[in-house]
Amino acid sequence: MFEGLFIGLSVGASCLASCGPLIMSVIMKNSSTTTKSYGYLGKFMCGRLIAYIIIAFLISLLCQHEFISKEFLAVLMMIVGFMMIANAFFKMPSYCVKGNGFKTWVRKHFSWAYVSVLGFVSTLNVCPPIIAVTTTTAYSSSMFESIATFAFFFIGSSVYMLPLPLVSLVADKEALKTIGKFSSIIVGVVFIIKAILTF
Amino acid sequence: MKTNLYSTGNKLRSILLSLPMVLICMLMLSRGLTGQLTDTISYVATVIFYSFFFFMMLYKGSIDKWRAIAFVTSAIFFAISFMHNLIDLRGSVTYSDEEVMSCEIPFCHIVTTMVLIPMAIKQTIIFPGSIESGFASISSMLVIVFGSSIILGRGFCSWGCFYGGWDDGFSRLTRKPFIKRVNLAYRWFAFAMLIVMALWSASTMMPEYCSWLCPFKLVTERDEIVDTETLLKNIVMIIMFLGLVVVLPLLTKKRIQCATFCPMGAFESLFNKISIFHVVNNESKCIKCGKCQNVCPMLAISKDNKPLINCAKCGRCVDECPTGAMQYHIKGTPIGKRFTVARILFLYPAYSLMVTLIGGSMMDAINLIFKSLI
Amino acid sequence: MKYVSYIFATFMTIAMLLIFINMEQWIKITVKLPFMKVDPWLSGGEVVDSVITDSSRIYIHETANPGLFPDKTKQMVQYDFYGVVNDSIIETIIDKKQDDVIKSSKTKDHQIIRVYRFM
Repeated sequence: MFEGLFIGLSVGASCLASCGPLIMSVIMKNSSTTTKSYGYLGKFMCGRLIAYIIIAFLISLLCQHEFISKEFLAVLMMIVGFMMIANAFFKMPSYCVKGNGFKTWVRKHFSWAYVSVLGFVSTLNVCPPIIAVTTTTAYSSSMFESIATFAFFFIGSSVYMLPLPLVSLVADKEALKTIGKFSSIIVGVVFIIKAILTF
Repeated sequence: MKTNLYSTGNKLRSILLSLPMVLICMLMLSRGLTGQLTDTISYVATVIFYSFFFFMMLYKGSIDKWRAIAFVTSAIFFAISFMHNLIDLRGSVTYSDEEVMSCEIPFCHIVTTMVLIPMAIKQTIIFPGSIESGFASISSMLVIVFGSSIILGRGFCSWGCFYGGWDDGFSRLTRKPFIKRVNLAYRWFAFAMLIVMALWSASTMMPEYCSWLCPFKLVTERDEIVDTETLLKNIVMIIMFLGLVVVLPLLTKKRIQCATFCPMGAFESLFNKISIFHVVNNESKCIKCGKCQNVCPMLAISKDNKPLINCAKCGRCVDECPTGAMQYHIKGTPIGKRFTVARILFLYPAYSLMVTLIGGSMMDAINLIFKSLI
Repeated sequence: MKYVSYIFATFMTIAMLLIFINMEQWIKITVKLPFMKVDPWLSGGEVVDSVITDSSRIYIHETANPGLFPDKTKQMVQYDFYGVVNDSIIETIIDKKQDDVIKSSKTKDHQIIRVYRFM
């Protein structure tokens, strides 16, 4: 169970390299303060955690660690690509919207959902460190153990992500936003091309 | 007739100030001389070439014009020499799996941005080159990149980069720009490239910019076409070269590849904070005409006419400023005083870099041309 | 202060020249740094075993894994063959049926064979 934590700590730098471009772009594009940036990181992490739990659940259910087909991964990659490009061109609606009704509710929760889904989808398809823990978990004795290993892996690997929001400390916010916008486009295009090449 | 504020107009003074550079050229280019006639001729020609342009910079007082001629010519000769050496060595300018497996790929300074994260985390270099020996070894290039960047900051891009001469050259071919305004925000694209490429390369452990996006593979070495992927890489490379190095610089009169796309350029910009040399706007002289902003090929002058972090110290704004408000400056000295001294003190290391880093290739290329003529 | 700056700026020319003049020394210092080695996935890595006969020498490298952390599901072993090398020698070392991908590179004096396994 605790093996997950150690694997997470040892391969976390790889998490930083693979998820870093995504979350960095989102943070740079959308947030003006460090607190807000940590908020975005939290949302992204939530998506990751949900993805990990689902993977752990499926692994212990199916007793194998390769259950997502190449084509399905390509579709997920394509989704990440389009989400990143959308991030570049559209402004995240503010959480502080006044009023009632479905539209307001959607606006209020949009950024939460969007970034979490991004975290979720990207964990399913771009996360190379996950291989390290899936191969371990595939032979776990129980579902609880499997999920716990993944949860500990999540904690271990998340440590490396914590400094990322500090990018918001850069004084030139306009520059940061523009860099975030451009990096979202680059990451989006890279993912779409990778997805096309996978098909 | 416009008189240049920096022109000494004094031949003797310019000659005397050029003498150290002539000696530097003679010393730095003499390494590897074999004593053959063609070798000696090319050595003398190269020394005269570089010394002449340095003299002209001092005598005429305009840096950028003379720098550009030397820089662009050097880049072209570098490509000739580099490609000829490759053909000599392996019979082709393409590299196959064999060269990659033997770790024989020359290391280029742009790769530096992609190897840093794996270097720090996994303690390895993700490039199939030679660490110590051979042409453009990894250690020698890292020493040159970091050493010269600490000294010149992003000045490396205008004085030492053997690729920069290509888009600098194309950006000068048209008299007037077809696209008059290029949004200054595009300069941040290079920074986005730096972040994404550094992290992406760390995640795949391959220098992805070199594999897929570098336009300059067209004038150095490229993948051998063996399958769809290598075909695609070659197509991307040609499109990148034509788009970023030829067409856009022609249309905008800006160094689009260097200013908006090159991750190394963005990385070098960070060294501008360390370097002792920089370009400043002496506000007491500035008439806010905006000429510096219009002529800057690197999108490095702000709307209020101040040089930005990505300034490559090419000297175009310094030359074009009608009042001499744009000046080379040494940090820690008063602005507006002894600016000619600052300018000369900058020119020596900057020009030394050009002569030493690219001059050897130029000499080699002239040698080749002589040999083919005789 | 300003004189220090001017002196420092003057020294920059010497520093620039020293980069190139003293290059051999810089290289010797640089290669000693712990990170100055090519990733084993690209270079083959350290030699861990050797088979030496009268006519040939075979060096076997460490098992390399790709990625920022070692991805154990992908492995690569490099073999360097020197001297007289023929297919039968290669086949005694490498089981071509079991290995997924084999890449070979021949130079003047030796042949490199890389065997990749994807589990």
